[in-house]
Amino acid sequence: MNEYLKYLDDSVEKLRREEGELAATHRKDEANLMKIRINIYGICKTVFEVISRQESGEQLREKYLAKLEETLTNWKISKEKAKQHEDVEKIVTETIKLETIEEIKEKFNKLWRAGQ
Amino acid sequence: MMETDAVKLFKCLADKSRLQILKSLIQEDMYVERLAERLGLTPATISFHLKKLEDVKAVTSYKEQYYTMYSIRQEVFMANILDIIKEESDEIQEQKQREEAYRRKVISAFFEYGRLKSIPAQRKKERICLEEIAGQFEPGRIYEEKEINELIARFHEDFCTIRRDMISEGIMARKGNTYWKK
Repeated sequence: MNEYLKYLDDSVEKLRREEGELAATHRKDEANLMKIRINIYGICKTVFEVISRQESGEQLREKYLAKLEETLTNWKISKEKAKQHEDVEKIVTETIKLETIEEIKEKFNKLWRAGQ
Repeated sequence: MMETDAVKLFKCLADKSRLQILKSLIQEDMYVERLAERLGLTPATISFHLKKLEDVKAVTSYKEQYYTMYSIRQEVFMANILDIIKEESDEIQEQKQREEAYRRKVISAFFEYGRLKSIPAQRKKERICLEEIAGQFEPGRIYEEKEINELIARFHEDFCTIRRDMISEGIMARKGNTYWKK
């Protein structure tokens, strides 16, 4: 799954460029929101590397997806909680986190299928 | 306009996207999705910026049919910058505001939706959290231990530690099984 790791690294690089552009054009808050996205890619990479040291093949896929799913569920709960309390800033950050991890999960599945 | 309000307003305005939002709202009142389309940003990002602008009272919102419309509060922008600069700073007032800002920071770090996430290890921070919880107790009222425990348990499950620390910090007083706020 070197291709997947490359996708994560490339995405971080691209987002870092965008973050720099936002900060340079006086959009610091949006640059900070971009940092959240970058962190999610970093988290997914770390989790993948840890699991791939212990598992391979189908077990790796299952364990990794289960971990992503668990994270997704926690963030959905967190977003719901923020909605109940009309905490706009948290709703936005949780939405970004959810969108990003969904994107990553979709790409992982796509690359995994292509590799079979 | 108070100095701290002015600082908050200027800080909020020092953002290109928020200025673009205000430029749109000066033309007419708009809802989130329309602003998102005009400015090429996601509705979530627009909501984020609008919340910041609302916090400094630069915009206000109202309901119109299914939409929440946003409008600029022109009176805020009528303030004369020279008048703001000429305004004298009140050091005591500023000190109080700094203390209050620190209090709010501690409370927002340790409380989530009204529950204490963890008891701070640092005494100063713990005292702030204890005072926040003690705010729920009626001054002058005598409480039974059971009542006190139930009230504290709404904030944190370790009500024994919190109750004991409130006594040692002098926030509450105790005689036998009864407690009262000092």
